Amino acid sequence: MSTSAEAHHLRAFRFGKGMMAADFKSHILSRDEKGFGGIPFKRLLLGGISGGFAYTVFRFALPNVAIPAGVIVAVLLIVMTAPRGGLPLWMRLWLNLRGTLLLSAAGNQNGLAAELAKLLALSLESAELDGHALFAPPAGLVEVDLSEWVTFAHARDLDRGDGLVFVNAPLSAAMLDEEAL
Amino acid sequence: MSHVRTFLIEPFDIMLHATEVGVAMLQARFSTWLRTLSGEARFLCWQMPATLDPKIGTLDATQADTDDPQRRDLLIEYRREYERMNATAAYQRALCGMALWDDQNPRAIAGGLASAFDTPVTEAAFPALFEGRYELRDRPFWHLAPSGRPGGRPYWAVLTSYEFAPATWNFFRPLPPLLRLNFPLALAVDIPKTYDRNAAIDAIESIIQAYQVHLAGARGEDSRSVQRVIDCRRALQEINNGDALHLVQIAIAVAADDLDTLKERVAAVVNETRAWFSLRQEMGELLAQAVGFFSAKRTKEVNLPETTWPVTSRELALMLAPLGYRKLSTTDGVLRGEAVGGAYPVFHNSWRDKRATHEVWVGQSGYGKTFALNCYLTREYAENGISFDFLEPMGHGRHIAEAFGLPWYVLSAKATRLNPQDVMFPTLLEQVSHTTRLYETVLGRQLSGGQRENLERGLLGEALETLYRGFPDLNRVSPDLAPTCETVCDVLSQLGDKPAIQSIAHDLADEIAGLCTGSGPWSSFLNGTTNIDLTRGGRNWISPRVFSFHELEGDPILQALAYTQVLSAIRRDSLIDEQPRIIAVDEVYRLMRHPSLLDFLIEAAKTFRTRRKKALMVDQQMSVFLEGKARLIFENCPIRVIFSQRQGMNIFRDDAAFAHFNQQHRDIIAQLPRFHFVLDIQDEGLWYLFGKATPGELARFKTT
Repeated sequence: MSTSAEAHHLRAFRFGKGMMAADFKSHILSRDEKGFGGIPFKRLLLGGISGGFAYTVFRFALPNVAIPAGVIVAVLLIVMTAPRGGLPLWMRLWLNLRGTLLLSAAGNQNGLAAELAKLLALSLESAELDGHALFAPPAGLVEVDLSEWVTFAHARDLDRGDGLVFVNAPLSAAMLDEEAL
Repeated sequence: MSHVRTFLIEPFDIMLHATEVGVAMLQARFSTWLRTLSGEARFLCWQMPATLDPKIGTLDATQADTDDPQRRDLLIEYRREYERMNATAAYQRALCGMALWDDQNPRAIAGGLASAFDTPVTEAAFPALFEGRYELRDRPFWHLAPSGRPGGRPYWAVLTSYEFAPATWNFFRPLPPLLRLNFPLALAVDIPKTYDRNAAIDAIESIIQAYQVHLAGARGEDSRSVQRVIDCRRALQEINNGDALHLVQIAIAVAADDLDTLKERVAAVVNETRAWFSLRQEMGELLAQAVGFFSAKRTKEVNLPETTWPVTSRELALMLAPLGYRKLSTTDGVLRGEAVGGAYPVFHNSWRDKRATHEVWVGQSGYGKTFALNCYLTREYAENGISFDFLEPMGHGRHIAEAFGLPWYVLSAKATRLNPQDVMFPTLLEQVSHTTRLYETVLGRQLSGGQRENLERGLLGEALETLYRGFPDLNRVSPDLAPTCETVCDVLSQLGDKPAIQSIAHDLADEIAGLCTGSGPWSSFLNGTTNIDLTRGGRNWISPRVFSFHELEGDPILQALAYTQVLSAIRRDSLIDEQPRIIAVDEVYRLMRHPSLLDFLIEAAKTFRTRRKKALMVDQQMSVFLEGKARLIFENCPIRVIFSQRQGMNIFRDDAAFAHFNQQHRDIIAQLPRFHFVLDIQDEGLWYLFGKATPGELARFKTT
């Protein structure tokens, strides 16, 4: 961008500083109460409940390792729910795995990866995108190709099969020759 | 389930709103429309780097085709200038669109959008983000690569928002700087849900209640919760004031020709927006799904993890800021100026329509009207081969005449003679009416409205008819054969079958003779054979002509008559062919103040239009075009070029023709510096432009 354009925009921005604006708010539809050590309360709560549940289960099966199991499950859940990019860690790992599986399956559609992809209901179509299909205009905006239609004045004319058709180049020599034949 | 409707929205120039009040009004208008949203919606903006290469290519082709050395030189000069602009600037082309899931009539929706955004909106399909097949790749990072032969197709990455920082947004930050990054990108503001007012209030109140419980039991400070309660209360207040609550997420698609550049560009976008919102680079199947944000696919079908953010209508309005950043549009047509603010050249082709598009230019003396007009005429001549006639009363037509070596017709009271009886119209009725109008101007009174005046009109018409009927074919009456004023007076004085009528005829003949013959004040100018060649002379194409009337300055009537006769000759020639031509009339008020000539001008404007002749009327004040019948001329001119109008601003405030101007537009018009103007093209848009000239134009017309 030219210097003058920059200057104009800077002027506009300075101008805009005192202007009508909006101070964006925090997420007013979700709760995020303070927890401990920078970890929100809800994650601590989830970790605590899961750890407690694991401890209870292990108390029946393997009482000797119940305490370490409860602690490990609690810590694991806290770690795995740590958000990054707006997604919890477990989801990112899962998506990464699915993505890798998808590419492997797309590369070899008869291999183990393809079987696993099928098992996980992974659509191999998403490995290759068709711009034409993806960005097709909405149904209402698709132009009707009239040349694909045969028009009859009366329903009974259908039996005779002498309907009218739209042609692309009505005056072209080829069409006229065909008519003559 | 509602059907999706896609609309393309023409971006406007935010510089035309850049005051506190202007921007506040813009935000209010946008948010008022957003409050009415009920279903899903998505705003999109596609941006591609652009160059002036198509324009340069067109000039090259024209240059190769033309045989005129003067045009060729001018075309080389313009090409150089566009090449220089290309090299020193980085232009972009931008397109905005809106997808709405709504069952209303699409035309009604487009109308609502157009009135809310004050810019043209049409129902149309969205452009494709990319062409052909693309495949997912995970190395070195997740991206989309062209499948098969790339054919110059770029790589793409998609980023989606997941968190909005508590920062201040306005129409200048953070989205416009993002759109100034000079690489191809597309931005989608997805609005998957707009809450019902009561549901929104309930949801927020329940959050407040939960936080209050938490804070009541919490030990120590929890500033985030305190802030969240404050934010919730602010949102409630805004919703209670009429705003709606929307869920929003932003998706940005970035393209590059190689992966290293793509990585850099992704980092640039993330850094640019970090202070306002955080972006996540999509991976795996999410990347494939996120591309759906740039199509007319529902958010549910895009199926990304929920990372929307709740915003009120007044906040969401600021996310539509890209609408206010018009970029380089078409390169079809001639350069009209450089946008103030965006610094992109604005081209306009006013010859697309089969008919010509007339223009009104207004502006105080010394603000660059004449200079801009000279530049415009030169460009149309060079680039499109459109010839022109330039009529002006100050003598500055010399500059353009000298620059092109054109014949400079200076009409003078002493040396020029223009016979009012010269045949300018094809039928006798029209010709008689035209000559009668000229005599009315000479007499300074209209020959109608009273009994005597009506008789006078009849008698003068009879005299003229008698004279013209003497010729077998009116259209073959050359200036050397046309009857003179003296002859008209002789014939007129002999008319009448009753003494009373004879007396009236005699008196009128004496009156005309006293003014136009013998030693009358206008005899040397009007009585005799026209001595200036206004004929077509068998030519297929008439080269540009410049007519100056400054030597008639002392006599406004002579000046008006001269203008009319020259315009009549041009009009007569206009009927012969449909070659485009520009007829520029400076200080047009000099004609319009004579009622008879005003009628002529109105009629000429209509004739010119159907014959592809563009009338370009120039004057100092817009008010002269809006009074009485002159308004008919104004209404025939869809293009308005407005230079500084410090005086007469009330017109822009009070007249319905300028109802589309807001206070900021009026302020700009009142304070336009030299060489700056507002270009108002009916149904197309409004531009605030600087009259950019090439070094060649500056050298040629600097004295103007």
